[in-house]
Amino acid sequence: MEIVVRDLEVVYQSGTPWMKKALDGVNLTVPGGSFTAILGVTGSGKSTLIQAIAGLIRPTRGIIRIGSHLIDANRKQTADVRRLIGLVFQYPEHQLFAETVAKDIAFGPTNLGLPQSEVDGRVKQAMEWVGLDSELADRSPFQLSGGQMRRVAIAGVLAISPKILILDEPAAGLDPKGQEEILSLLKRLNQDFGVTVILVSHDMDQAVRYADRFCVLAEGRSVLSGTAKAVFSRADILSSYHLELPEITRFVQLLNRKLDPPLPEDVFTLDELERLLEERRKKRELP
Amino acid sequence: MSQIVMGQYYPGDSLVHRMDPRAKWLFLMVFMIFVFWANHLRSTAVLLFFTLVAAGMARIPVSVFIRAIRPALFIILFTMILHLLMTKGGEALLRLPFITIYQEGLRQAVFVSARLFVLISVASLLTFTTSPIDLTDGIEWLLKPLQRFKIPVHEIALMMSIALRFIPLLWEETEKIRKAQTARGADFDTGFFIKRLKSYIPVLIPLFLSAFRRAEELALAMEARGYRGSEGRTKWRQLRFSSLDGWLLIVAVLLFFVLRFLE
Ligand SMILES: Nc1ncnc2c1ncn2[C@@H]1O[C@H](COP(=O)(O)OP(=O)(O)O)[C@@H](O)[C@H]1O
Ligand SMILES: [Mg+2]
Repeated sequence: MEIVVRDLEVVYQSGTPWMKKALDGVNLTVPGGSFTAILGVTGSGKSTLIQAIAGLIRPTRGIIRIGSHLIDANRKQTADVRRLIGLVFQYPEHQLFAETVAKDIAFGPTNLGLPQSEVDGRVKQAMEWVGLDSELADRSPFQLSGGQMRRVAIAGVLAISPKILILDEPAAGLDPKGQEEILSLLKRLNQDFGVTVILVSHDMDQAVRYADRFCVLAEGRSVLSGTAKAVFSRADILSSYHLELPEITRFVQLLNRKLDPPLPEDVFTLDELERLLEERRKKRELP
Repeated sequence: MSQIVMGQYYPGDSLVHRMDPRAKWLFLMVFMIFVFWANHLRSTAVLLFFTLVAAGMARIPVSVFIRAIRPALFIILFTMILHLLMTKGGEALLRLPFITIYQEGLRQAVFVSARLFVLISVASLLTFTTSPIDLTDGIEWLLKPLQRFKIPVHEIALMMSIALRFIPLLWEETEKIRKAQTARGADFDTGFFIKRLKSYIPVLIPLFLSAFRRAEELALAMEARGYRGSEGRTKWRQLRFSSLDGWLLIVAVLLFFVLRFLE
């Protein structure tokens, strides 16, 4: 299911001295089944954009089209669109509330009005996905570690079985291993189940490793978007908005100072880089 | 998306904004006494008129003002209806099958709601025009005499300033949690009283937890920076009375005589 955002504007607290134009003409296309990363520094409007897509904030101008559903300044999102979209907020573990892990995860599917057996099945499935031991189902979520709580919260959204999964910095504040696990889970949901994933991040390295499409926000505008190659070849634009290139790209650039002919700069995984370097070495040894 | 809450500061540069917070606090206290002293519609009308003029001088947009005191407006409306229906006396103005409205009921309804409105408006005018720091510095100065009786005035003022700082934060947090639970299909807008109350449990529990977490973090941060309470602490910001505050005194005296004449 494709998401198209055109000329989106969101103004907070209009008519007061705290008025703030958080989004100012954002354009974005998220192809169905893609893994799209939304990048940008703090305050660039990332969270606002995804909340507008999820129908939690009404735009002041512009349109958002999700499949065949349309939202604009006058049209509120209906419940049937809402259930297509799963939104994981920043620090989602701060929204846990139920007595047990299972009950908290069941909140979403229960609100959908599913029968109890179906709800139980989904809770089990979601816990398995996020790697939570089934023994934890009857524990209080507040007795778990921070990383486990994060997983419970994410499971709570997965249990809705959304077609589009949007996550606001889901890895923030986790240890590197925990980050890796959450992001590979997203990749798996994207590849194996065709879930469209939108990942908000300010970590270029992480984004480039998992996403296949990118959208860079700066000061409430979309300044760059497209494939990794299209976005990360524009170091000039990125640096003018205080964004760095991914570490791997900077590394390739560093190598290229010594290499002739240079390596292509659109290498975004270590495996790929390793393969290229290996090829070169073989070529040199052959003659 | 309007996040104006009661007790919020509305930055500005009006005459009222520039008055000394101590003067404004003192005036507020005297004015509250006036409000309870005024037992006639006409004197309450004078106070109401004064409040509206003061609000105009503070240059707070009417929409902002209304939005901030909206929760209180509901209470006012409620008391108004109660008085209208329950107070008996005087001539019957309107007779319906189950309801009779008496003259005295109408008078009480107008009087009590005007009085409540004045009280709430003047208090919000103080918080609208005075920054939280000024508010607490002002109250600390006013309560200082109580230190003789071993009352921890500085700590009380600090508690107040923290509370004022936390109101908008908790409000923001509430909105965020509400949105998050809405995204999981929670429904806050349908059903009757009990069902609605219940639907807020998924918001209230995380909200309490977050309040405790913030309190703990703040306590830690204060300790880490060596906060030791009031002893030996000096203030960088000094309050100063100006001629503006003299005017406030004159207004208070004038109001006193007007009320004495009307009562
Ligand atoms: N509820 C709100 N009221 C007023 N301003 C807000 C609100 N939420 C966000 N903003 C402002 O909008 C801008 C974009 O915020 P946000 O979307 O959270 O950015 P990001 O997620 O990229 O850090 C920021 O300047 C922020 O201060
Ligand atoms: Mg954000």
